[in-house]
Amino acid sequence: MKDKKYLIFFIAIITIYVVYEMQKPKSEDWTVTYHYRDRIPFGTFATHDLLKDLFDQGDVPSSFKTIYELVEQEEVDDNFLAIAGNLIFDDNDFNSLLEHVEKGNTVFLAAQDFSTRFEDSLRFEAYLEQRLNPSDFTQIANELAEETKTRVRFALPNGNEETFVFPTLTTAAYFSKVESDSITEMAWREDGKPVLLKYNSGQGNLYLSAMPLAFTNYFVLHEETSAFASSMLSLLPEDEPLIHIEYYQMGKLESRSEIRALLSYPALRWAIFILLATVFIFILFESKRRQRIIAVIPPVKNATLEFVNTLGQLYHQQKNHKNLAQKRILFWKDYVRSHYMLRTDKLDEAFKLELTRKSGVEKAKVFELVELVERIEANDMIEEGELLMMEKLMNEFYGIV
Amino acid sequence: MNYIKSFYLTNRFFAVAGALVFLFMVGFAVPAVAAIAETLFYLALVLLVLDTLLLYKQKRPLMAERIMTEKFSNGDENSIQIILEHRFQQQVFIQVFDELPVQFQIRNQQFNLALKPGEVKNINYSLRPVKRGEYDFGIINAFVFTKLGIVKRRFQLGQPKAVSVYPSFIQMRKYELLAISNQLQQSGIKKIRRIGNNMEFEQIKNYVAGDDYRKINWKASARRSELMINQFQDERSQQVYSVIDKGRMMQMPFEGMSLLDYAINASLVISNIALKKGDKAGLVTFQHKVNSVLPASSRNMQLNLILEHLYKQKTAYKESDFSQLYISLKRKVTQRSLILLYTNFVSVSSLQRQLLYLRKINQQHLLVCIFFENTEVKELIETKADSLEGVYTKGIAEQLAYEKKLIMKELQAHGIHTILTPPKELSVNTINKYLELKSRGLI
Repeated sequence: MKDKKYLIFFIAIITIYVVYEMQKPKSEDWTVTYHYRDRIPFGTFATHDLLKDLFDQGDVPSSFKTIYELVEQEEVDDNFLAIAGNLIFDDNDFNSLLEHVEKGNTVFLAAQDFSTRFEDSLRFEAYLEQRLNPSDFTQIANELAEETKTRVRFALPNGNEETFVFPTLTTAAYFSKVESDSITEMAWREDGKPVLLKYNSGQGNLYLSAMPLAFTNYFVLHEETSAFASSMLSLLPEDEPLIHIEYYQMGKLESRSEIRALLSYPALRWAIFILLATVFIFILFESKRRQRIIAVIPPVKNATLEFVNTLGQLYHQQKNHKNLAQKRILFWKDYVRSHYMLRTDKLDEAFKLELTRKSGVEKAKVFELVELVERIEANDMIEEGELLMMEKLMNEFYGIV
Repeated sequence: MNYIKSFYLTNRFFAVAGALVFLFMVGFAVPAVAAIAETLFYLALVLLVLDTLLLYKQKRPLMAERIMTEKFSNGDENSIQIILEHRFQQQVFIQVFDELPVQFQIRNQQFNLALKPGEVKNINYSLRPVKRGEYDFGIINAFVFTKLGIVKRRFQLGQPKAVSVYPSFIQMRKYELLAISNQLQQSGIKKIRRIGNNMEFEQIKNYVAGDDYRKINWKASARRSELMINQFQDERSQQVYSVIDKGRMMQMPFEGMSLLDYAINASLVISNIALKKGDKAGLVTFQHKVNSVLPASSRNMQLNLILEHLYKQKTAYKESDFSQLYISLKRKVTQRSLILLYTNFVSVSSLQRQLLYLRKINQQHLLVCIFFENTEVKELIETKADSLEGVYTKGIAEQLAYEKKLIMKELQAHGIHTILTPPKELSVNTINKYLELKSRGLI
């Protein structure tokens, strides 16, 4: 019954907590994913919708492979779009990228941070003034709500210029020291720092944008800023097929744990699968009951020994050896009386001889014991040694081995 | 669903799985081993399926029945038999878990047997209950596996059954036979010299050493040319009351059984013998007040009444009130009777408090005070002490044992008969006392 009370109590507490959590206004999820399935502010669901309208092909497929894999291994010949927080390209990726552009394709890359490969080869530098703390949602929300905005000037390919107003958050990154001749600046912050570059190589173009956030749902759906995203995307030829590469912000969709490495060897794969299956089966089958539950009934204890031990300890603490010796002598005398039918009021020579004869114990031992008993009875105080001696002699007398 | 419920795996299954994992790990280094392991894996799978099929081919291939008496005897070994019969076409191995009553607290009982096709086997075991009351047996769980031993199939067989544990009727029968056939000597019981001289003649029989030679029938001896003796009948129709103290002091268990239950067992034994000897047996139980009085009688059904009465005894182990007992005996037992009082005193002072009432009872009746030697203390006395503290403990134990003797002497000083007995020998000692008192004609 008591257990049940606790159970009800706990269920009540949990229910209250759950209700409280549900009542609480849901806070916006400001995670930056740039993922086309995410409808959160910094996903790119709306951007994909926009792409559908901008390009002839309709739906723009997403790929979770590297540029190297797409170009070298699968020999894809489409235009690429990549939106990510930072673009980390290794040598293979970068070389494939340049090769791909040179062949006459258009590639659009948007990131706040470009790897040094870009900066070294294309000769520019990318700066990030303020890094977004991805877990601090309140800070993000506050910054978006703030009045401080930055104007972004965009030189359209047709020669016109347009100005868009963005929260400073979006324009934290910019390019600088653009030293290459083949690079054209296309958009600037109000302080003149470029945020969009065009790199011309062979027959193709590579666009680099420092404002990936401009492509997220939040800004694409926002009246003031949506045109900027569509204008930038318009730089990609609308009649050529386009692939959205999501590898750089999402990684490969498959798991990349260490166990993958083990699983790539067939023998180890067998071992692991058999092991896991066996553990699962073990839990499933070995947890089954073999017979009904046997409730625990504590047995009634015989507390005599405990009682005797406690009393013994108490007397031992008092260390009244004489008192205890007398108790033991009483018992011994009773034993002599009831077993050998001898009077114990006088422990004289005759008694000792008679006791020796009747008990069959060695004469010297009997004499020693009786004399010890006499001595103890005569003295007011006795030593510890005498008590132990009596124990030894009595054991011999009683025949306790 | 039932198939899954009854499906169990053996340790062999897990051993094989472990071995395969090991082989595959070796196979990572040596590809040839991996190939062997793979073959073994499929082989093991085939065997698993085969084993399952062998076990589940028939619907009810195993029968089991538990055979036992309706009533169990408290404090004795009661035998139980399980009969197992099967219809498997190959040899099977069976693990049997019988669902024992919770009172026994036995969790590790398991029987393993091997049955050849068509073979019937019995499992015999015994249980020693130490409390009266209802005991519930559950079903019989049997786990069957074949020689392959990969899969176990569980069978839930038999029927749950409740058994009543009664005061020891096994002891009752045993001592009844011995007492009637005068064979009590055989179980180590002291031979009683018949000192009594009742004048009711019964028969002439051969003289045996120890008989009273004043009763030799010289004429009969002359005729048979061997010594013959007149035997006289015991007094009959005397009242024998078993009075059981159900108080606090009777709770202490020895070998799992409380002193109360020892007393109840002994009461049953002595009542039976008294009835067989032609006396009237009765029963009184008390704790803080008198709980039940079963008037002495020698009717046929009396023994059954006593048995049922003893079976039903419950107690809260309160402090016993001997004044209440005295009043009740004074009112309800009017004829001079043998009162066998089962109680327990630990110290002389606790006896002193009750002595007045005991003496009063003894005035009207023949009172035998039965109390118990503490065998645990005795064991302690009979072991060597290895330290000073041990010596002290032993000294205290000796004092306790000595105290019991003092209690006995105190009672005897007031003309009250006593039995100081280890719990195990209670029944025997009580019978002896009864026979002794009877033959001495003291009742």
